[in-house]
Amino acid sequence: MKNKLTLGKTFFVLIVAAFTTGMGNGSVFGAAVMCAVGRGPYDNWGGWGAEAFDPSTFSGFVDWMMLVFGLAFAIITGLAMSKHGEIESRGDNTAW
Amino acid sequence: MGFQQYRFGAAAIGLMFGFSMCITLLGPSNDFRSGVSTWVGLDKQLSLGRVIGFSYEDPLVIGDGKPVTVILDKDPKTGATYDPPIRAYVYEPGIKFSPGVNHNELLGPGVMELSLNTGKIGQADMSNGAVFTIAQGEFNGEEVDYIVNQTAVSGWQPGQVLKAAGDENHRYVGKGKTIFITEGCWWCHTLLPEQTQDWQFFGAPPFLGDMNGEMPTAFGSDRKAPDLLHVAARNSSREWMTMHFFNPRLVQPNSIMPRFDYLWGKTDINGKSIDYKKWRSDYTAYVNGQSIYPPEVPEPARDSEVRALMDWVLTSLR
Amino acid sequence: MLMKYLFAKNDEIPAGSATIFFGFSSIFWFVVGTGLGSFNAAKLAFPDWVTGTELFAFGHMRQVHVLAVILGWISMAFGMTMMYMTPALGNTKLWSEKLGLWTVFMWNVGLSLGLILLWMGITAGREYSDLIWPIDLVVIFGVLLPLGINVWMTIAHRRTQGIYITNWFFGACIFMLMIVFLVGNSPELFNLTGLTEAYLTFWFAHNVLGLWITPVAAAIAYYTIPKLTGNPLYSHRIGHLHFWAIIAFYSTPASHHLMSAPLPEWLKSFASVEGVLILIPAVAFVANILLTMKGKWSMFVENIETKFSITGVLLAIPLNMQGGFQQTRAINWYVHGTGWIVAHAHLALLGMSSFLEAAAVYFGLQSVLRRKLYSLTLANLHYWFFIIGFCIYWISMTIAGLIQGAGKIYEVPYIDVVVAEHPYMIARWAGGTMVFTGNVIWLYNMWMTAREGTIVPAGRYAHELAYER
Repeated sequence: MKNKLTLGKTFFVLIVAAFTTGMGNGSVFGAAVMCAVGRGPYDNWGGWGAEAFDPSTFSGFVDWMMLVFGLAFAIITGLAMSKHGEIESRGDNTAW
Repeated sequence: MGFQQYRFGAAAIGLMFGFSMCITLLGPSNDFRSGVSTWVGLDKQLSLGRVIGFSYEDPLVIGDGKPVTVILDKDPKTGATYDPPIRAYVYEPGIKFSPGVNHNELLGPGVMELSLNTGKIGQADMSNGAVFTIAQGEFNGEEVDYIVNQTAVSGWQPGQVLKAAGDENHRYVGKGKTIFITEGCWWCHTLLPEQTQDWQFFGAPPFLGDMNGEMPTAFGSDRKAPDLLHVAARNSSREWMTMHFFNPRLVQPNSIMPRFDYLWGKTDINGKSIDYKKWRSDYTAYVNGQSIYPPEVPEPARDSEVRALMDWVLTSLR
Repeated sequence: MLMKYLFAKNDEIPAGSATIFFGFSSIFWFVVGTGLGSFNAAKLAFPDWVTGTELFAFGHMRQVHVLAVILGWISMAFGMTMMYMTPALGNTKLWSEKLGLWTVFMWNVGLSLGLILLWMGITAGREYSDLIWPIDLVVIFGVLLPLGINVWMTIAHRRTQGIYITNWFFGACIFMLMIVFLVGNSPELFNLTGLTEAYLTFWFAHNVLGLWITPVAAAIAYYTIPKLTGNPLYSHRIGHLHFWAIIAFYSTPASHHLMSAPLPEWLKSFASVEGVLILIPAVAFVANILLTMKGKWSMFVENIETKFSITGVLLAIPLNMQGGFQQTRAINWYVHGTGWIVAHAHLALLGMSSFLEAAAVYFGLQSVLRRKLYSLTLANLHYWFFIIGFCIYWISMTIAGLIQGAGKIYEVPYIDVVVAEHPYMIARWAGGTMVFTGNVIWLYNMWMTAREGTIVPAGRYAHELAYER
């Protein structure tokens, strides 16, 4: 049997399902960090690398956190899936 | 043997769920009961009546069976002037009283005793109607506001008070909140400034006792627009609101609020029928730069829904 | 057809009829609900789109969308799964097929009536319990009670010794939902007022989510994943940990919805702590299901039902991470009342829950009809429209919520926030419309399956045949 869980086959599932999952976790982490560091004065805090007075960039930091977490989650899931595919292709269930 | 386990399981579910209900329902009920009605709370319940939304007296939810709030600048019986004017809550015969009048314990300790003994709310009779006002008194050294049944205390009759005040001083607050509920204003505008960060724009959050006897409270949860709890304190212009309700883009080009022009009904204040089609095409021309001024917004009729809505906003949300 | 069976003798009704009617009703309401959602979203993005009539005003339609999805799609999909999973897990047949059909009938009639009244503006004015109290009574005694009786009696007449975890959830959740409906609507029934009313509104709202929508969806996954993969559930003990943790912790955190109301402080703190404890059942559930998949992960990319199910389970991870932490005072301070919460609610209902139910409806209708899916391509199209649409919706609303939160804390004039949010409102509408399109495809696909799907031979499962020509 050949590996059914190659990156080519899982790619889009990972992009969507795992990436979103990661982004959800990243949003919580990002918001928590923002609450922790973001209570400073208004002038000098608009998220890291973002303008302070522009409401549309306030979320900048969390957006980044969501992307990083999403990417991490997609990579982790992708690695795990290809590993699973390898084991499943051997038809060997003793290796768990 | 197995059966016994499931019996135990079912009992455990019941016990655990019952226990959590004790904590989350019985627990706070003591705290709720200790809430002493504030002036805001009394004003709200007296002006809104028994219940807003679907009910026996208002099955179609159009604002039937609600009291009328009137602004009085002189005593309708003696003619003595009030400065500043006071609010009287007129319940015509057959209109159901607000919850606190019949269930006095809702008013909270102190307010209840004063309202019963000094305010004589126990003598209010639905079949004859009644007029209430709010007065200030002292109970056990604490200053509290309480309800006065002016029909029993000063002999004011509902019809007489309504006539003495005149239509320009009537405020259809109960009907207005009904419109607020049915039109779903509260899906975007909350009535709950938050305790930590809303002070600057939206004012103070409500206190315990600010909503005794109010139903429904319609706090809202999803804020897509400014909080309205104290909106009349920020902007009390009826002209601005008339334009804003008719088409919010007239006063705030970036607003995403829907147009509520249909609340005007068929005719304006002079009984002239409103030509919505023409208004919209004129407005489109204005938006496209073909005319310099937007078309005039018709002045709402006295019994229109939008008048009641503005009455509520301007009277209650201060 | 439904009319004929309503008055037939119980024995003459073919087994599975209730499942089929429940299944198609639920898909129909899903189409209606998401269609309304897409229309509403369009109005938020383009406020002058359809304007000037009371009937199509946003405030008249928003609650219809919410309740059509919760009581129509999600709850009816639950009803459908209960009609076929409960007997299957008890190795018996449904206690009363006729009662099941009456339940579908009452449900559709009651819900249609309630939603039409709501649309007209005849409302109780309480979020999530908008339905007026006569309709609430119909829901409790005309729908939930017969559904409960059917499920409880089927469990009681089971021919297995144990009760599987799914049936524990089904039986307990219907019971708790009935209590929640009664207590939550008591302000309307007994004219309770003031803070009591406000609190009970959210007591109801939270418990419908926490004791009905998420746990029953999880219970469905406990059936579908082992059934589809052929693997036994990884651990029944962890399953029970999940179940008892839900009963113990998740019936209490209602007041975290009202962190800024003048509720007693002890209650808010208590609710906040209990809310974090959702992580216990959540981790138990996700771990249990993902470990059950061992050796069968290839089905995640190859089998449509598994794809739906596992996506739902994966979405339970961010759902519970957000849910557990956003209601703590620190984060709630930032996100309360913003689009973040809207995104989170859709993550629970449209993400986690709906994906699990879609899998169960796909699987259940095929196995009860004994017909193979009409078109796998259309099913895949449904999946991709659904997941991509959902992701667009969820990401845009989360970001919009963060903008709103920042605007709130830094006290930016509100209109600036509205302007900044506008692109995300358009994205939200696009995402919602994709989900709606996917569901239209699904309804067509399921309808054609019932009429023209290949008959599944006895002794086989429909999903096993999916790739056989």
